[in-house]
Amino acid sequence: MDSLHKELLTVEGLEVEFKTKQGPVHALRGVTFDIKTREILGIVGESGSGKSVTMMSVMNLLAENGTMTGGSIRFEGRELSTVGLGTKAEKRAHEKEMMNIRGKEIAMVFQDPMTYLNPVLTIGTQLTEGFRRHFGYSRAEAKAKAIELLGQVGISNPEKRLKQYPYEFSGGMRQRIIIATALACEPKLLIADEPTTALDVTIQAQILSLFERLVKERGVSAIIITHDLGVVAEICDKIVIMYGGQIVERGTVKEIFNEAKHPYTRGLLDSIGKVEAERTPLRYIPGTPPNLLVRHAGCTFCPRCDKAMKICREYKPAETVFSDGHSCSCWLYCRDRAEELVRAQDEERQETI
Amino acid sequence: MLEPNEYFEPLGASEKRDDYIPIASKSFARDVWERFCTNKRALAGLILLAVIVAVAMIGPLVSPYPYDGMDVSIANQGPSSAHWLGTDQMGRDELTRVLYGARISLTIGFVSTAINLLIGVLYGGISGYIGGKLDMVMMRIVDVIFSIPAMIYIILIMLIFGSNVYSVMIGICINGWVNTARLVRGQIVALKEREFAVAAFTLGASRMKILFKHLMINTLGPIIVNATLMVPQAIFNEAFLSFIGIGISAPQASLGTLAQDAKMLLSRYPMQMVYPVTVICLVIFALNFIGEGLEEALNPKGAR
Amino acid sequence: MSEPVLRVEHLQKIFPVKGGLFEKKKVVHAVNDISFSIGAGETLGIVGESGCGKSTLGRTILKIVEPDGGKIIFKGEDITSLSRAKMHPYRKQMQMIFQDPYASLNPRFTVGEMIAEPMENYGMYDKHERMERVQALMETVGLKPDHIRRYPHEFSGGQRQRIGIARTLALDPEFIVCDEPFSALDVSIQAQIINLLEKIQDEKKISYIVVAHDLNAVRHISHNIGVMYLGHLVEIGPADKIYSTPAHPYTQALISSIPKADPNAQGMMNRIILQGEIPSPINAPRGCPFSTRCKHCTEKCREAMPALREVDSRQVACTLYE
Repeated sequence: MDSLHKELLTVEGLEVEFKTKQGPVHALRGVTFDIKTREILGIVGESGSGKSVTMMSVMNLLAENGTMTGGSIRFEGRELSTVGLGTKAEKRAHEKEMMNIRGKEIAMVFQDPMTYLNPVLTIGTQLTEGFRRHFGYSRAEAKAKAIELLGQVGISNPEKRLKQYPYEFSGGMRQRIIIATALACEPKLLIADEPTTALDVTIQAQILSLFERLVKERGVSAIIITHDLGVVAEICDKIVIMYGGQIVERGTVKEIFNEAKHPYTRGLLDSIGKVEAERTPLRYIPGTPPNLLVRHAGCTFCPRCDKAMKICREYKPAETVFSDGHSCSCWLYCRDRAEELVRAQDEERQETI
Repeated sequence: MLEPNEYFEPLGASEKRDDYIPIASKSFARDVWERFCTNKRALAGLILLAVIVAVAMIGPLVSPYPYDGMDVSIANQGPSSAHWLGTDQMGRDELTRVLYGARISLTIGFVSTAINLLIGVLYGGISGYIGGKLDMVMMRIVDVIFSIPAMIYIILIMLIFGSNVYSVMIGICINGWVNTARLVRGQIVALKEREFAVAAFTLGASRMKILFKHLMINTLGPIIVNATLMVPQAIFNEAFLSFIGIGISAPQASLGTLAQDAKMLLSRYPMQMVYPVTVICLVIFALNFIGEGLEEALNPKGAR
Repeated sequence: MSEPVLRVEHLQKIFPVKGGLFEKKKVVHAVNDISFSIGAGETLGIVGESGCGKSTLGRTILKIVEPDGGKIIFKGEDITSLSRAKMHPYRKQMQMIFQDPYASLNPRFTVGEMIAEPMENYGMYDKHERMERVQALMETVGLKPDHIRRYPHEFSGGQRQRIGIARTLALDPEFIVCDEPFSALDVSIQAQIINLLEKIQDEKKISYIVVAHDLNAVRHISHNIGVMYLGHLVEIGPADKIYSTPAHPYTQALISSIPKADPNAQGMMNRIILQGEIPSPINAPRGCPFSTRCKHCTEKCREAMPALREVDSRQVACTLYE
């Protein structure tokens, strides 16, 4: 590992549970990944796969009925998860620390810029707010910085634009502004949750190239959450595939696209219609996304998997490493360890009973 | 238990465990009822109302005293074993009078609400759904009706039809439906642009069917909540009219006239005032709690 | 060639825009002089970005909104100015599948009631036969028989879209407008729905118009593709032609913007990145609507909208090919 790339964020065995009327929803079931400096990581998954919940946990912005029940989140050595925080005072102290990290060290870009921008404040006010608070800039300094930022994200006539309100901008412009706000405090990590889903393709192309340029120029690390494999293929270095609150496969972009191992990843790659495809039925993944109210005994993907075996229904597969960074959790690749894994899981079940 | 030698046998489609948990398939009404029941205050309100209604219906029938049976020799007595709540200034049994009054008041409340709903829902629904010029004209008519104070209509009606239960009801209804009509119109205008309404249109549903089967059913929530709040309003209006002396005339009684009768002797026999007013309060509280509970049950998201 | 199922000639739809008290009344040409035809069992994909009028086009053809000019000819009959009552029998044959399976199903109806309703509207079959047909339709679209008494909120997005499709098929239509049928669905579910629509088309020879902004999904299902920009049809032709050798500069940019799900393709390298944004349709540019963002723009482009003309077996509206 070269000195340029050191550990930035490490998430280990993260578990999140939401209390609902129907019972607890196990939204995350032991999520482990890491991101090093100057890397762009893509988290790919369908609705309910837990990709957004993961990021909300990192930012400590889980909805009120959600709690982290296990695991850890370390950002440059500091613990961000609320696991094991008992007393109110501890929680308050932790929240105070998070306030300093959020926005300043980890910034976030949301899917719908309009929900993030305050409609009654000018763009200028919203842009300068962050660095005036975190860096204590004067009004004039902040304004100069804001103009510079807007210029960098490709908004023409920034001085005039600062005085305008969010509704005066189009969707693509707003997303540029959000990216500008996110970069304003020079964060070390930028998290983008479906940054281009609400945009048209030609605008998406603009935003993606802007995003890539800024991240590379400033040496920021970024996590992009998306359901669109096309988007990750273009700008990410590493990919993590999530399904049913778990990571089923991880690897570099080339490894995932050229040598996908997990049946879900393969199914996902098959089901995006290739542009040059003939009109033959698309290969697809049958069934519907998993119900997270269920505690699956075996693999979450088993009911939809075309390679399912008897063991998949009863026991959880373990992670198999293929090369540095490329790994996959599927019984197809950990057959040789079956007996040992089954014994361990049986023992665990005995204990909980 | 799985034997090691069958670990890697392929799993047939029928053997796959579907992780579909059937949510008990509940109809809308059932779902609302279950949510309603979790609200203790609303449930208490419902029970209270049921008790009051039952007692008001049965009470006068089983009472040994007629509601208008006067006996001046026993006027203004306190509670006794013969007259549980005492007697009024004419020697009539107070308990029988209060129960009879409650019956009249509740009848007025529920019947006028039903009439208001019927007119308001039809008027508002048609106005909102057809839209355009018709909507414009219909809504201006509503504005005119609404801009004239209700009291003027009521006094006019009393002059023409005399002071009785029916004219009080007409008086309450004559502009009571206006709010419902506005509410329903607003809902329908918003709903008719929704995709399911457009879908019903493309699937060949007639205008009436779209309005009544597709749109109205989705406005039920606000309409029911509105209705539960209209009942106490009507009861209160009747009490008010009777209290200022233009409502129901003796010997008939409503909760309002009872309070009116007690007014003159308030300083000497305050209890004669307390009984009817307590019943009015209980009814209004009960209905308000029910309304609140229904509102929460019908809009579970808004309640959180 | 036999009579096409649907022919549209110079179709127009204009929406008035509320201006200020003293401002001149403004209009938006949501659908501007559009002509095309669709044969039996064919699919025309309509692509374009938000606000280009593609959804309005679909709704105008079905007369959900009344057209302001031009003609809609369905199986040789001019249906442009038919009244609601006269339209009723045609409506049965011209159906629509909606974008949002959450909003287009009435939350108070069970699946069975929903699928039976269109047949009731047209007095098709008796009650018993209708129930049998509901079950057959549910099987066609891949719903389980015990779903019949359930309410839409109990289903996932893909299953709801199936309910919507079953309901539409109840009337045995010959032509269906699919308005963004995939965009609310997960990737793995989109493929299921695409396959389902194709299967139904092959079995029943239904013609589709598929309106979508997702170019990958449309590519697979469409025989022909029409590209819309600010209310105009700028290019229309066979899907292979449009995707492999787009002719109009806007189509070229659009096609090159599709993210390639292939890290070896190096798509970013030779991508055409358009400058600026779509102009507001209220102040649409004079002449070619794309002239404000087009790198080939000349004086001629700003003067008048070029007409569609045949170029390399497709039709293009661009001065480059005149």
